[in-house]
Amino acid sequence: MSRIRSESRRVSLAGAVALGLLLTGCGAGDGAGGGGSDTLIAYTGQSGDYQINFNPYSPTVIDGPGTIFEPLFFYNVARKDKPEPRLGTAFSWNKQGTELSVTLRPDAKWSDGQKFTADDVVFTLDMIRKNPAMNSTGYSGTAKAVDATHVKITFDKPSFSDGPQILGRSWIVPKHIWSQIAKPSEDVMKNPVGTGPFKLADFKPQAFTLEANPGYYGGAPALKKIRFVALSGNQSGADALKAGQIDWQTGPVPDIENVSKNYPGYQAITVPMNQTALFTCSDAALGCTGPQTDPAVRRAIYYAMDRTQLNALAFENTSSEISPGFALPERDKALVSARLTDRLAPMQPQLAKADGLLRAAGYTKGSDGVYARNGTKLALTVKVVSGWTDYITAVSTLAEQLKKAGIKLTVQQVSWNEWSDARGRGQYQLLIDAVSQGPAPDPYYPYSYFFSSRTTAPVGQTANPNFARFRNARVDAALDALKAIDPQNTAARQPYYDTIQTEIEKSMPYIPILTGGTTSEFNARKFTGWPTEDDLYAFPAVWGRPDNSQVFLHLKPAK
Amino acid sequence: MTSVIPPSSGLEDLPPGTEPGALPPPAAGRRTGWRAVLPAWTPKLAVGLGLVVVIALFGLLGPVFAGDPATIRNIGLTGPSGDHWLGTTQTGQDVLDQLTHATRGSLQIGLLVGVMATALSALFGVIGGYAGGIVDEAFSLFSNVMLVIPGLPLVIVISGFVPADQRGSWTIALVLALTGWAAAARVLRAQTLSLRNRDYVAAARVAGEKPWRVICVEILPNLLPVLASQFVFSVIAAILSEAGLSFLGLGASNSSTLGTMLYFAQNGFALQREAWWWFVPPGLIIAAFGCGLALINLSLDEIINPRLRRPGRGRAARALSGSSRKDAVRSTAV
Amino acid sequence: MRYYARKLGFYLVALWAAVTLNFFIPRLMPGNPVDILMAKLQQRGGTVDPSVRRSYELLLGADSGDSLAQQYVSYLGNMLHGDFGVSVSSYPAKVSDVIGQSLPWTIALIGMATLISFVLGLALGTWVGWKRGSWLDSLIPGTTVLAAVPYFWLALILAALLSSTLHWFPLLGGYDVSLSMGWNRPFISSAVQHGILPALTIVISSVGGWLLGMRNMMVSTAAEDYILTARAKGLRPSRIMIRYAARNAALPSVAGFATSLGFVVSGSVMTEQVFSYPGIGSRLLQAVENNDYALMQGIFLVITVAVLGANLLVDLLYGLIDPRTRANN
Repeated sequence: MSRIRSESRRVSLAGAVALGLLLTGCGAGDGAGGGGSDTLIAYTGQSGDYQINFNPYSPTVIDGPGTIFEPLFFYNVARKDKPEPRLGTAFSWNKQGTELSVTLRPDAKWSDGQKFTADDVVFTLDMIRKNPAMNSTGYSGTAKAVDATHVKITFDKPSFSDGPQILGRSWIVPKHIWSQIAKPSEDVMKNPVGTGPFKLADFKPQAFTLEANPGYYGGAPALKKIRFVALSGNQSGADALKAGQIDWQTGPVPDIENVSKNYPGYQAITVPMNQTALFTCSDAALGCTGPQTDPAVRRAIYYAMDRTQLNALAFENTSSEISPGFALPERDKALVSARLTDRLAPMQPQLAKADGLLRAAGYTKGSDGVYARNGTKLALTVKVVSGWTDYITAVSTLAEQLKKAGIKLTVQQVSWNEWSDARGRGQYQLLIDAVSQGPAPDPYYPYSYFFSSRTTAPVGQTANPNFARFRNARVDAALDALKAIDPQNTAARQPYYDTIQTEIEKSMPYIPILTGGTTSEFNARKFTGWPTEDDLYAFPAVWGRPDNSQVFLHLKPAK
Repeated sequence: MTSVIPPSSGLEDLPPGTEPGALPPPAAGRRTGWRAVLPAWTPKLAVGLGLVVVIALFGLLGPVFAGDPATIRNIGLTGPSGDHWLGTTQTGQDVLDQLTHATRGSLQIGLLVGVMATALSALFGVIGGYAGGIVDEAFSLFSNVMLVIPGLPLVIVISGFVPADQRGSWTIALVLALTGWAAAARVLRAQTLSLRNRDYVAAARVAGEKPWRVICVEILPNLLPVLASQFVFSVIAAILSEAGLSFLGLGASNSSTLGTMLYFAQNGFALQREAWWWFVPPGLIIAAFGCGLALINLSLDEIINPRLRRPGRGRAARALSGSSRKDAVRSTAV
Repeated sequence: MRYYARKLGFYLVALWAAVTLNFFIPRLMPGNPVDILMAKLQQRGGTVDPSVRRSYELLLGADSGDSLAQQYVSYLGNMLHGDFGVSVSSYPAKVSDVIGQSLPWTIALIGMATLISFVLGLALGTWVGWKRGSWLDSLIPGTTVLAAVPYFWLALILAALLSSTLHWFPLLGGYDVSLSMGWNRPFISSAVQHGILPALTIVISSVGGWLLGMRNMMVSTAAEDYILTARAKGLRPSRIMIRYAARNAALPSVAGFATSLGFVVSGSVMTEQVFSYPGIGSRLLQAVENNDYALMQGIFLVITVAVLGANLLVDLLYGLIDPRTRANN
């Protein structure tokens, strides 16, 4: 039940890594459930047994995207890298963004020995388009094979922003096998055949093993075996890590700042990725009710919170600063708008500003220290999933902080089921959650998901996923414009990013709290080649697909 | 669901009349009248009552003297000291302060469930057993169905129907009561069936007493020890079950109980960090309280079944000793 | 015969009522599988592109458009055929496969633990009841303490102590995943090894109940005339204890045992969570957390049938053993 999303710790990374290096000499216990020194044991947070499913287009796939089935290119969401070639070697857009040409690798083979060709790519894309149940990328193009190694994809309208989905998240499958499957969306692919660096070796409900693919075009990976194990959650993950039974997991562990000391041979890395925010049901015209529909109240909360204390008490200092324009302060540094009032949200409370905002909005402080307007108290409720202890701690702390600003905040813990329902239908005043990223290192994606009027719905209907019910014509127009501008052309894109960020800052439908860090712990004594803060070649979350495959490709058994 | 199985659910299910007239009149033995329903004073009872009273006082009066359990300090996870007798939690909250409030919360749930479950089981067991016929069939059917009702989703369902700002321990208490009365109802039904055929009950009926009067005057007093034992038992079961649900993250989330305290300790990696002062005390309080109640229950058993009371060989007919037992054992009935 | 027919009818109606509740309870839960799946994927780095949700909605068929009544009728029909449908949380696996994969572990672990606990409780209860008044009586309050300890608290502490610190038992899981599954010696012995500690925790917390019940029955039985007669005849005390007293005193416990076997299939969420043990309990939790109606219904049905079946068995056995029961009904 606990929050699987890594609520991890922003250790000073460099420090942790350095310490780890110093300690590589001393030993951890041999993994009791381990499987030899060349097997990497990964724990993805799977709770309960695995049910076999290697269909990369299934929502319940247990692994395969990236490891068994490859995309054309790898997009690193953690850093602004050029897409890394996988099955493709190069791609280019025409000027209007309506035609995408991809050059494929000539030497790739399926793990059953057949040759990989452009026909497989065309087949895969056609299959996605023909099966709406598999089309989780919104792909709407038409693919044609020019020759064995060239594919041309055409679109009706400019589609630059669809590129990362098509190139980076479409898992290419073998035509000679999948064309025989009647319902590809419902097949579990017990014997997956792919072009990827790994093949399925063995499946058991408690664990499955992938092994190096000797016929891989890049040569068989140095990492020979990967075993994914099922445990029962964060606590058992931490126990198994302590016992040396897993080599890589993403999630919290006790005393995260001292991983390399507490777990000899292990290191931790924290990557800021998802932006923690108070989601507000913001638009009264769509049916939201409560004081939070007033932007002044949202902005007052923004100024009243003590982010330093929140980070220390709730997030063990693994979170980092956040920009009110929702571009990631580190990864998207160049994109953070200069026109924002605050480039970064203040880490200390600014009660005077909060007071000013509320007074200007017509609120007056009552004798009990709580603001009121027209006889209605400034009282809000915030929903949090019971069991997400760091978020619970965060909102409880926030309640104390807001009290000082004359705002009454009541915490409501609700079940996971109820929370996701309330979030979708907008039946809440405030809730704590995270704004998540898209398929490429570009804030365009979170903007288009969470801030577009096209992805929202009136209260009572499910928003998908603009849960805050935020609607702003200028933001919509900017998003449309961005869709038609080549992502490489940053100069042309920046004005639109500026517009979006300033509009968001003005309205604050998602009240920024902090940028949450994703922490992973890994066995640096058994394997080398892990991502570091200096060389963040992939987002180092073990559950990230295809990110984890990129890490697997870089790993080598030590000695 | 049930992690440990009620070993004797079957006992309660003795079909009606298995031992007609077998239940010894509670007055059997030396003591008569109301004194019979009071347990004999034994060391067991003394220890049991002692534990229960001390913990109840702790939960009742503790919060008055304790500080605010929510106060956050910058001294996370420190061991017991002069300032914080039981150390602090991860966020620097005082464990002892929390313990007092949590004890109160758990006792409240236990009491609520005890009352509700006992009332429900009396209603369905006694009335069903006394009325017989179609009413009995319907009530037994209902108890049987309730016995297999899945508690886990019921918690979520019932919580969902209560407005979020009114939730608290009583929501969880309601779920536990609803899923916890059925086994007891079957014991009571069996006992009622046997009492119903007693001469004095029959006499009252023939004399034209109204059914509710017969039940209240002739039957209920004789069932008191059983009811008391059921009550005590459902209090233990409720506190244990609430702790179990909390462990799964489905507990009384908006109120402070020993279960939620354990849950936070567990999620704060208290065990892994060897913060025993955070993890051990809540469990010990539950264990001590449960143990106290169980000892009281043992004494109650001796009333229900006088043979357990005094060594030697009473000539009383074979008793249904069944009542004690579905015992103490279920850690979570949900 | 009328007695048996009535009993059977009674349980059939109970089954129908329970099955009906099992249909409605999951549907009363807030939320829907698609939103929960989305929220879950989002936490695992999945994108929240609107197309993702649309495709899953299509795939999982969140809304078939049938009315609740239609769904209910087809649900009853499917249950009769043993067709539980497809699990959303393990899509596209069939519910019967998901249950089939987990049930053997639960039956083996919880079944064994229940059996051990029952036998041990019975033996100790017999002895304690027979030696009434001796120091053995102090065992009773002792076992009540164990029964009053929160199960998961005890289990976590034992796991931390015996597995993490002392390394006496494997820490987590139901078997060594590097072995090949099947009826081979290394696998079985690893499965047994992994089962010892979980079973031990269950036995510790449940043995007290059996002990107490048996002891009370022994005390009652020991006062019976036929025991006196046996003593008077000068039979060996051990023979009286076992052949005469215990055999009769055990009857209610045996009935209780039959019923608790019914509850075995419901597994133990606690045990499985603490020890990461594969089994039906964690599947149930999975179903509840994901609004996986089909899986919930499947598991509930298995539990319902097992518990009601065991109760029916007890009723029928009593009917056989004690003819008065039949007459009275």
